[in-house]
Amino acid sequence: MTFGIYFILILSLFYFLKPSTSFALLLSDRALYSLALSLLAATIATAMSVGIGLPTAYALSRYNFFGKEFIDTFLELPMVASPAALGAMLLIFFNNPIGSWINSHVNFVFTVTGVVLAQFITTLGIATRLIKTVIDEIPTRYENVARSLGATPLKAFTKVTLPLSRKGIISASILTWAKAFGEFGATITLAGSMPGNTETLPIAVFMRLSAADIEGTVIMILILIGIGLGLLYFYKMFAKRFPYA
Amino acid sequence: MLETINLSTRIQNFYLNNISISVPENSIHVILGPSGSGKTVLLETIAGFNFNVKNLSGQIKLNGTDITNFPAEKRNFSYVPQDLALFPHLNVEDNIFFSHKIKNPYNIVSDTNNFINKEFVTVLANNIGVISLFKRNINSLSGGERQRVALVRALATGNRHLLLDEPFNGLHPGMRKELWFLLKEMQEKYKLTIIMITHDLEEAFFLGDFISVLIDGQIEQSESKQKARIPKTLAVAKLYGLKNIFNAKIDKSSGMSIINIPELKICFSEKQLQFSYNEIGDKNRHENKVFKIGIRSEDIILYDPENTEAIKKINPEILDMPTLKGKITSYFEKDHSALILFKPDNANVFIEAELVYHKARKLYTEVNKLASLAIDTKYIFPIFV
Repeated sequence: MTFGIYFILILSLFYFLKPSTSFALLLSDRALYSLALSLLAATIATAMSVGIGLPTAYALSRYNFFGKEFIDTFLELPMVASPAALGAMLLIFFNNPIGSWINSHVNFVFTVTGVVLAQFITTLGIATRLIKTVIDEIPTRYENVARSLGATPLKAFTKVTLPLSRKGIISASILTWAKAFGEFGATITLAGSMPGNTETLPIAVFMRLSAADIEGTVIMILILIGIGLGLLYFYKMFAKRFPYA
Repeated sequence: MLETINLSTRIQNFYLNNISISVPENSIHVILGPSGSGKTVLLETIAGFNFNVKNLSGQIKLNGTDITNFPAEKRNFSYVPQDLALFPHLNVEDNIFFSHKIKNPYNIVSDTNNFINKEFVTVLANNIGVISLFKRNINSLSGGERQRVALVRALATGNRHLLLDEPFNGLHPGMRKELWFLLKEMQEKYKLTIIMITHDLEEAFFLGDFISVLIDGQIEQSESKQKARIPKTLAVAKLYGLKNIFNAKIDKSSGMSIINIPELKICFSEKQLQFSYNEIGDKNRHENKVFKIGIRSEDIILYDPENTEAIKKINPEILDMPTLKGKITSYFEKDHSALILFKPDNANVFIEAELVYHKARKLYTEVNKLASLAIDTKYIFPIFV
């Protein structure tokens, strides 16, 4: 049923495709730039989110400290605030004195760096939440035993907890990547929608639709879901074959 | 000597209250207690996993050195948790050599010490019978194999102190017994000092040189195995499953100290006891102070009243013992003994006797059979409430 609904939605896209012009559109500089930007920005944003999310998630999972619940609640900020609101918050930040000082050194507003930042901010909370769930699942006893076998806390983490959670962290990264790849609201608010500069695939979908370019929209949507679903499917196959890889 | 001095802590709902135990080198100290008594918390605290908890007080000492604030990896105690926590992403060999790879990640063989250790582990693995499992996956091992691998991994560190949390749980009795012998053998061979948790009485008495009973976060009694057989408090008596507990009081009206057991309507002189009245903790020797006494069911003598002469010949001491006439009300055969419930004619209580079952079968032929019971006062002990 679920599959049917989604499948019909995808199938209906092909109604507007004309093979002759579709390939030209697909291979146009503007479309290829959007694709490259989307892939690159999502990858950098994911690396940052997971890189910062991992230690945060570990601390939240393993230690009790003052204000833990408070910090934990804040992970939900990107979910509670709509993407546009998040983008607006970023824009506002870069207009206060500290923000403008930062922006005068590294320009975030209406730039590619802004695209990465917007995607990073929207995915950080989710990445942390997903990784925390993974680490919560691994009993502390494994680390404790590693410690009693002579490992320092860092070694216990890198030799035991990390390998045991690798699969979960990869799947968290892929979901984070997919989320960043499809990010729209915060990106367009902070980085704008300049073709050949800050136009990612989801933004291109919106821009082409607002220009009544249905065929272009369809092509962009197909690339977007093709990459997203393809990646997830590839990962599922991979995870099945190597349980502890 | 590994000792804890007035160790107290609280972790979630588990409390430890002034725990003082001492474990001489080269011995096994068993912590016996019901589930939820705080046994695991105690072991983890000794292992050093809870040392940064704010509400930890007291000391842990190893040969006089205070190690209370040492991190776990500096204590050199090998900890084996209840589920063993074998690392599922490593095979048997990598599990066993985990401590070696941690300390010597590039496996530099020029380090003679390490070379000897590798040899040592191989010999150890051979002794414990896991060498053939080296390339196996953890998930493919049986329960007994896992226990052995966990034991080798713990010993491969070179640590001489082991902390074992119910290590033989969930194994069938034959395998348990086999591993008990193995653990004893390893303990003697490598001069190990072991603290071990269990809730199994047989296991505790088989393995322990010393036994501490932990109930509700408190040590109820802590002493050598021989002394530990006798429960000192009511809580321990209940944990041991002791049935024969009766109120008693001292009556000195006749000039002699007479112990009176009102529930059984019997009395005997204080001289017949193996403990003195002082042990009951009443230094002022209050008249008529009520206390409890207990006797283990295997120390109860049951005999056929129609055959009194014969039993007196075999066991002449019986003449000095308080005796009761009554009936056998229930009979249960266990795996290697039989439990008999006896009701005295003139009292409304039951006394439990445990006999090897060929003797029990001779005595028991039907419910309500008449029987006589003698209480060997040597085996009576006081119980503090």
